[in-house]
Amino acid sequence: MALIELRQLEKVYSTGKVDFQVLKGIDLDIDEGEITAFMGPSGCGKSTMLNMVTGIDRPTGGSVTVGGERVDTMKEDELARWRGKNIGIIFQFFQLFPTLTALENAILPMDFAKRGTLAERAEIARRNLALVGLGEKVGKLPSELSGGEQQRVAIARSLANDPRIIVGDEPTGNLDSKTEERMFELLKQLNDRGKTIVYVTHSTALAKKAQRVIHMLDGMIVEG
Amino acid sequence: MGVLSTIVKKSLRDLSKRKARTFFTVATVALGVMGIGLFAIFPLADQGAARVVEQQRLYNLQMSVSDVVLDETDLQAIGDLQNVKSIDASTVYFTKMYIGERMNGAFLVGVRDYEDQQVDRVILASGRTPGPYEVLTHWSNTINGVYDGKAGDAFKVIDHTGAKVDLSITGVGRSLANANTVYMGYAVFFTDVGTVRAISNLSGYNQLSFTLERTDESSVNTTVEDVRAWISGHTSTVAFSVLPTVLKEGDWPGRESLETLTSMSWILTLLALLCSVFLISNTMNTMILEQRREIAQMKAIGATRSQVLRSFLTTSLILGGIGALVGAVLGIPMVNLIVPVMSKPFGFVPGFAVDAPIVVLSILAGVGIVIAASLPAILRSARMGVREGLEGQGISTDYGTTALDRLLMRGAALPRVVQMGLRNMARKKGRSFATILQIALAVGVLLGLPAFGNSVTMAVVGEYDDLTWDIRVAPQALGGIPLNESTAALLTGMEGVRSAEPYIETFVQIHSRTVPLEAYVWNTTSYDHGDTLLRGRWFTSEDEQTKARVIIVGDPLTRFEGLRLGGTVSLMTATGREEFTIVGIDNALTNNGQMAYAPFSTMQDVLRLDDGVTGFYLRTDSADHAAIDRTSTRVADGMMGRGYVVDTSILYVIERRHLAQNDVVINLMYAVSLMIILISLIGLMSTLTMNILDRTREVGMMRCLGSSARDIRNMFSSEGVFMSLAGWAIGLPMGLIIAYVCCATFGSLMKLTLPLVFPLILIPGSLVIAILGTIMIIQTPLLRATRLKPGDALRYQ
Repeated sequence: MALIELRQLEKVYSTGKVDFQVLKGIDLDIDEGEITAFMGPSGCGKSTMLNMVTGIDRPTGGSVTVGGERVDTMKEDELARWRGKNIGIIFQFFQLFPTLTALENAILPMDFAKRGTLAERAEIARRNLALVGLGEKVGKLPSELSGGEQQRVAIARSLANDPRIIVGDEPTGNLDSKTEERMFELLKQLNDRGKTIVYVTHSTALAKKAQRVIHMLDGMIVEG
Repeated sequence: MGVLSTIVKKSLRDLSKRKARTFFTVATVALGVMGIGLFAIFPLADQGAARVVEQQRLYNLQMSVSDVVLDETDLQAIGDLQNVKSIDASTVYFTKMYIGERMNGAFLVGVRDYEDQQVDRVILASGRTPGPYEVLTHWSNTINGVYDGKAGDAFKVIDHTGAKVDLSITGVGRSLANANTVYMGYAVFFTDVGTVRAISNLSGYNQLSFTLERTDESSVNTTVEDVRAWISGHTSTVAFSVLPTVLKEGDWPGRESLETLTSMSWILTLLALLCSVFLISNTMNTMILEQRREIAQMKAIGATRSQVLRSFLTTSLILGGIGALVGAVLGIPMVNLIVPVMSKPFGFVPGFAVDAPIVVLSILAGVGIVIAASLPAILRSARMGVREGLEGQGISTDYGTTALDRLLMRGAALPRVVQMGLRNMARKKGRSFATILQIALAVGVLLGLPAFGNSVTMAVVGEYDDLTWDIRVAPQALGGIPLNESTAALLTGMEGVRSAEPYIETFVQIHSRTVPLEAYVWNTTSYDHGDTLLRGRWFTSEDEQTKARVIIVGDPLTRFEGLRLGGTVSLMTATGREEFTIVGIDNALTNNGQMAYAPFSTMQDVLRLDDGVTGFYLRTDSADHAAIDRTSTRVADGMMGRGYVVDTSILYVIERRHLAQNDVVINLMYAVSLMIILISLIGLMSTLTMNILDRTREVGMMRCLGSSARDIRNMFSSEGVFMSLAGWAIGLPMGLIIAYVCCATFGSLMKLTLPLVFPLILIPGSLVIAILGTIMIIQTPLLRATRLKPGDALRYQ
């Protein structure tokens, strides 16, 4: 059984006067341990599909099953808890909390999930930050870190609750090519540890590094 | 013009894009502008009074005389005197009435001719004109809670022999001239002269009322002399027991008091406006910050600095215009609700009216304040560079650069979301600071006004603490056996009376100011002069023996009239002018400190009373109120039974009534302060709403990381509560300042020193109110934050 199962997935955005169908009946399985990249032009629905997998958005039709659990039928708070434990998310603009230090940002998902003791949470976060090469900068605020360092904090944060799946929405979109390279190395390391990696990218180079590349166009999968 | 119309369209759309914020801003401006409406209270009341003055032909001059028999020809002759426009005469009588089992002061006004009232017309509000032994009850009797009898009811009054006389009510009458008497606790009734004469044993008139051509001091004095001369020359009456009462053009009884009361609310109106300024400034800052990118885009496609300025000025104008208009419109009914409440105690209720200049001023001030409050942010926006704007993320991410940021990063023991709430407060320092100031103002008002109220109350209580008598016995106008020094023996022989001390109470004129003068025996036990004497000395037995022309004056009089210790002052008394030496300055607050004191025997001599007195101060055996009540009734009945027609007043009852009257001022201030607190709470709600809007993406992000609705609620609640705590901390000294300013202003208006008494209980009390108010008010924005869906939140622009 696939880790992620999308069946007849549809998503329609209503802007009041116009309905805009972003996803048009998508069927997709992603197995555990895969590195999957979504590619396609802007507006093709790739980020929306990622949002369906993470439960950030709800489908208007079809179903989303992750790890055997129906994500699309969960209540909002239940979904938030599930997401905190099972999914690590990395965004293009890092989305770190500016008032929290690198360490505190990396602890936050554990606070929400109430994982372990406070000391244990700090220890895990330090380990994750060390893993991404930021062991020396745990006390820094986001404003004191470079773009690449901020994204590494975001990766460390995504590992907080030891999720099975790590998703990235243009995870390297705001980084230079050298840093992009290092980021992917990190994702690869995580994949080697058994994490399923799913990301959206415009970068052909980054997409090529994935084990599976899914091409999308106009809300449909055209290849992969 | 094309550019302008596009700018206007953009401004309108910007406002409709953030409906909640627009609403809060307009609401704040409206509340602030509504406050300006308070400036209309006095002018509207004054205009209303002016209409009543005209309708009732209120006197310019009122002279009390002893019983003088005048016929229509005499009245006509006095009316022909120079400067007299019209004259009317009435027979009035102070007595006691029974309200149930209780006795209350009653004032009967015998109207000469209801069909031909020339001055102080009694207006029939309902019912019919009274005949013999029938009365109209004064419209203010019910309003002031003195007596609530209606047409058809009957009551008993005491006549000059002490016998009970039945009077029945035929209707309700209005009269501005006697409203003050009701305000003092007397029930006022209008009847015919025949009835009053029968009850009082008078045979003529004892009150003459005039309207005059000219009301300047010199003309009035001449008229008074002319009238006195005419009466002295044509009748056997020579006594003019009381100084004449003069109302200048446009004046009416209580006008000065009402003006003082309303001017107190102005301080608070200014505070309310200040609160609005903070909130508006906040809103405009946020709006401009959010639109950094748009401003840069406008500049990138060729907009000049002035066009950017114009765009945001248009937004300010629209916000200010709508808010000011709404506020000005809402201010009209608000003022029309307050004016009747304020003017009722003075005997009239003006109809619905609009003070057009104040409405226009409100609108202009509202728009002006919004523009002024927005200007710093607008100017900043115009100065912003294109690249800076295009690269901006909308919300600042440079947290951690200041010492405050670092300070707030301590406190690791707090739960994470609480830490975030605390630190988030410092992300928008300007906005948070303005909000904290608003809360501080609200807390300041919350602390300052009760402290001020308490100070007034304590001053009143203190004033009565200096009076050490329990019951005052005074003759009721004319009629009955006159009181003299030997009456003391009769009084002390009555059950419950420990001591009886004679006094003389009269009015004197110092320069042109009429003030009460109290004459005490030198070794008085009725007045604690040791506590109130500020400078100089009290009277001595030698003063008493030599009938020395020495006087002690209230401290405010020294400031009003330029008097000084050791100086002399010329006093106009009921019998003429006398020179007195000022031997002491007193700081008692009786009559707002505008009092004079003289030795008892001196005033007997000055007023040519021989051994006559104007009353006695009694001290009772028991301090128990019920015992004092019983003694008072026993004294009144006992004296009446012996042919003395006296009025008894109980000190604790007078004090209670005085406190109740002060509550009118204090309640008005509370009403205005509620408005300030409301503005502050709206400010807090608005700030949190803006913070939530600003951080919508962050809320989405938190949801992505697994936070529950409770986590988000706790984070924003902590932020609100921390702001509230900071506001409370700043509000404490602010409260002291507000209380001090109110006391100083009130003192300055009244020309007295009002010591500030700050009840410590207000400190924890205001903390509880601030926290509870915050928790209550932030529920709406919190609901918005917790209902945000992560997908929508992350897409939020």
